[in-house]
Amino acid sequence: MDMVSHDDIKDRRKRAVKTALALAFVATMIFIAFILSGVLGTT
Amino acid sequence: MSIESHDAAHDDNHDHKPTGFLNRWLFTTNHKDIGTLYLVFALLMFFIGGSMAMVIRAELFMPGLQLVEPEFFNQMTTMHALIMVFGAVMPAWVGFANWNIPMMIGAPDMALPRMNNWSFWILPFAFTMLLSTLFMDSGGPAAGWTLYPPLSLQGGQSFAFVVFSIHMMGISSIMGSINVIATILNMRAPGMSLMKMPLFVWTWLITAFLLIAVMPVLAGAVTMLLTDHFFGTSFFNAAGGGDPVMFQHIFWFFGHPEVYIMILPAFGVISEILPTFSRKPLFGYTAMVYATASIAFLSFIVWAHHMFTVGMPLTGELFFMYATLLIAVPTGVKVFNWVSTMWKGSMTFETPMLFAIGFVVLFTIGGLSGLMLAIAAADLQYHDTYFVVAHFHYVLVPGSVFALMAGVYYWLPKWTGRMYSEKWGKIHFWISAISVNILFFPQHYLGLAGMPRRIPDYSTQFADFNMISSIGGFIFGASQLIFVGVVAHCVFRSRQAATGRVWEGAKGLEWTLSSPPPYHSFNTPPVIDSSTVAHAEGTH
Repeated sequence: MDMVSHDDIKDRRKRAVKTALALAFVATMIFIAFILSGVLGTT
Repeated sequence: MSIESHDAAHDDNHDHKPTGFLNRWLFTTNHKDIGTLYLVFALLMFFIGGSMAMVIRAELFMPGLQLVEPEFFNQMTTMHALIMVFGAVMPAWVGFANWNIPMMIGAPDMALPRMNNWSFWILPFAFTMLLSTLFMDSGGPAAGWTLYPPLSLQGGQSFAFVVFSIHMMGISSIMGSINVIATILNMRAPGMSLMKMPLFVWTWLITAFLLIAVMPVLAGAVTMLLTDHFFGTSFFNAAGGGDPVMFQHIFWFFGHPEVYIMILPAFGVISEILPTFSRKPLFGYTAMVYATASIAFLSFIVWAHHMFTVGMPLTGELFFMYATLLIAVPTGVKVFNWVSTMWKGSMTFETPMLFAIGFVVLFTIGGLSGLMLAIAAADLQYHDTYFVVAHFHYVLVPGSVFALMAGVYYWLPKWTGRMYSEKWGKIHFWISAISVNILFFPQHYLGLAGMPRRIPDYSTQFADFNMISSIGGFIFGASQLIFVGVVAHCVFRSRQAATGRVWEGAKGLEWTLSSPPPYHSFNTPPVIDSSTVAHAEGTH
């Protein structure tokens, strides 16, 4: 059986936090981009 | 490794369940508990949103104004939609994701358990705030769930509460999606490659990307509405140099993928259930994955088919029309693959299978009326009529909701360790399947005859079909009490224990666990082989 050590689980969770931060950054940028589209699109 | 030895391998966990009600439910970080919280919350919202639907159908039972004021009727149509979309269907799917994804990929829990707790507990506050607007002087939102300006900007002070509640729902959805993606990409058991994942996991992975891409768009749109309403900006105010049609573009850039957010996990559930009760592997697994991804991609480039009537260049109409029609291709792949899965299978018709077959048939009707609406020239006639109401309710009720029902009946024995009443489950299915057609099919005719949506009164020529539709609605609404009874009986009273596998044809990692699964499952990662891969050839 492939065993996964406790450290490996910790590493996975660290990678998961990095994934989450990257996705949160993308979501924030989309929000700002659409507000900007409204600001720049209004004459 | 045999199924039994998997049981032994994963049942030796000590439970370590938190003691005390608050510790167990308020502070929980356990994916199973949080899944249960989501599902219970969604069920509550189904009944609140459903009671609003009953008000709508009661008022429309006969022509003339009988029961409610037109302003309140508009609040009911708006709140019914907001609650069903954001409070019922979406949280229900997140509940399924929480319960099943870690078990399906061999992970011990979601990747970010504390954020998982927070994602859920935002929701009750968001919906309390939204519902509280009904008791405010200016009343609840009444411009439809699309919140089109300038109408939505004519509401009173309560609009700020609506916008804030939508922001909170969005934050909850985004955090839930981030958790799903982080879990699937980082927490899979060794050997569980992406193309070995059950289709439900795949559909949720794609759904989560859709959510992260479009919920901020909705947040941006309602933020601009907020500043237009309260801070004197003119994003959507033509008199101030803004453009109300721009709101429609932004809203539907969110709104169309939102439809797929509600239906893609349903595709996943159906793709789990049909193979189990046909005792055959899913036909065309790889094609199903690519079809799901194609539908998700296409959902971003079809938004303006919701607004053909605002006036746009012919090339624009043609682009959005053809792009929309193109969605029929991957959707057709899915429907044909489901039928092929059943073809020559050793089929049995337990309640989950009945709901799944009901889904395939009735969702396809909703898809076909969607093709009719996609034709730009014809849409000018159908737009804003009951034909549209019939179309999206076929997609969402015998579509998403039937898939939710199918999924609950399918996994409930796994979740609770007890069997539900098959007899009452089947009674629930047949009453639901018949009444949902009595409810929504006549609305096609009403729409084709020109009855507009979101209007509390109508011409007497529409009386008969409205009465039939309302009767179907009352039966459908009442029949959902059977569902609550079946679930409550299973959870609290049923004495029939479920086996680990539950269903003879069930394949996948979650079925290697005991029923109910241990509070902490897969602390030791499972072995991934042909007996644990749901769609492996020759395993049924």
